[in-house]
Amino acid sequence: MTQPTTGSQPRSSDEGFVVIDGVSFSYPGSSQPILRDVSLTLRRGEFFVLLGPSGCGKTTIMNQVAGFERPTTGSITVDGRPVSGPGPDRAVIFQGDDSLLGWLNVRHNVEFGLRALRVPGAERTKRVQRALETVELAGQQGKFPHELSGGMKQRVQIARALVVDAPVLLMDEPFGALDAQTRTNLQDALAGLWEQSQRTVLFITHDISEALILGDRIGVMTSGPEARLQTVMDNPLPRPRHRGTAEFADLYQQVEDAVTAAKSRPPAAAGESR
Amino acid sequence: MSRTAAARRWRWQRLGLNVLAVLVAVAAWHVAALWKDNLLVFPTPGTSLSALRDVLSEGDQRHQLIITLRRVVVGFALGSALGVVIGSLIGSVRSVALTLEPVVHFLRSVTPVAWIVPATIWLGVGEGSLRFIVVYATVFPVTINTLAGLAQVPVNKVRMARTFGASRLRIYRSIIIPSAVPYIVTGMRLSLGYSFMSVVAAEMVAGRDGIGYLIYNSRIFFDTATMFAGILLLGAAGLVFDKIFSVAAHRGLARFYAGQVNT
Repeated sequence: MTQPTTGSQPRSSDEGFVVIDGVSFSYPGSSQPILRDVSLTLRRGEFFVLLGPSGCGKTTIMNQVAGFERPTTGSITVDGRPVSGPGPDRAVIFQGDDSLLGWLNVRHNVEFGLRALRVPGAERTKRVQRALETVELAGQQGKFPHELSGGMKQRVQIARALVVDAPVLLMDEPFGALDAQTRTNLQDALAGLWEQSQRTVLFITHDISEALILGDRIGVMTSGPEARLQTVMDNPLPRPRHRGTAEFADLYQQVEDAVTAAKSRPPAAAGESR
Repeated sequence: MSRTAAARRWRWQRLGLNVLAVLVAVAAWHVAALWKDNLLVFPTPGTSLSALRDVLSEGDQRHQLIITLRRVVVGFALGSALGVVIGSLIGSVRSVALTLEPVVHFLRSVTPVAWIVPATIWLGVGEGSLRFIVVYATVFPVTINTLAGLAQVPVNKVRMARTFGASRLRIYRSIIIPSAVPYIVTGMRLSLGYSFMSVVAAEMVAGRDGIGYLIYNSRIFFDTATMFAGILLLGAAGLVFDKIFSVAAHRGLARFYAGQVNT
């Protein structure tokens, strides 16, 4: 039930790798949609940040792309294939740490996906080792999640997502619960890591600075309910990026203005289509 | 340094309080017995202890304890296993939940004692009935706790597994059951207590041996001291078994409690 749909010819045009087309979502029995008519196209290898206030349905979008929930209307395709459920082409890095398995050590947590995908043992060991080195946890592989700091736990999640070589990474405020110092470190680490791997990332956050350090493009959402995608901004900052520069401050201001505008946009705008 | 010293002192204090509690209870018992002033009706701790010594020194009577403990262990093991299976089925198969869950909630409200007489009619006086009663007493707490354990599995753990295309069976085996282990263990610990309670009642009515039978049989000779000896044995055995179970479970299954307080 979770396999990516096969059959349709994959269109690997770099233009539309992840295509969210006119997606609205409301819970069954609720008349008020959480999302209204969100369309968004991610290019292959792009780092796309979805920025919006809490409660605006960012996570809902991610759940649709991950295949945990189905859009009420509209469609989502990844590499030309419609999303019909979760699948190993889209690895998810969850917000908290409750997706880690507390009874398994770091190595076995990272190995979980490979086992589920029936990768042979010798190859599993090799790939887990490489993934752990990538996130600088090679020395901690015997530890259990409760023995790790919050930042290390998120590194384990990142390793678990990287190790299966999923072309798409979905990250739902992965650093939201961390202290400022750790968050900054992990942002820089992730930026570097992404530059090496060139995967397509959909990253969700409400932190403007995080969006600017990581994103190629930044989509700004309006407040929920009936959240929409207000605008998509390019982020021309050269990599590696630094938080202290004048351009950074400039862009920060621009994004902040866009966020403020999106917030103050009256919900009446949604009524136009009624 | 001072922390370990403080910990050591606390351990002694705790032990001291435990001993004090026992002494107070024994003293209260003694005073009550003296006040009643009829050893036949209400034996003192001293006479009960000497009766206990008699029970333990006589091979045939000592064997009664072994018999009862074996019934507890076997019934508890069978009932727990059955409870995990039933709880898992109810918790994961909707049609089973709809058919079985009301039945479970009906049956678990009926005390096992109520089934003793029907059980002897069906299964006769002896092991069959006794086992049925102990299994009955243990199966429901484990079922209910297994269900509770299955219901609290964090959704992100299951979602994570689904992103990797994990099969239903794998999700069950490597996510849902391990998440439920602390709940199942709690249910089993309750059940262990219930199995001690139910086996004695069953032995009184449907047994020809065991501590329950020993206590019940002592009525013929108006031997209250031996009844008290049996009660002391049951309490002590229950205490020891509970301790063994919880220590073994927390040691053996420590990783399923990882990160939780009070491990």
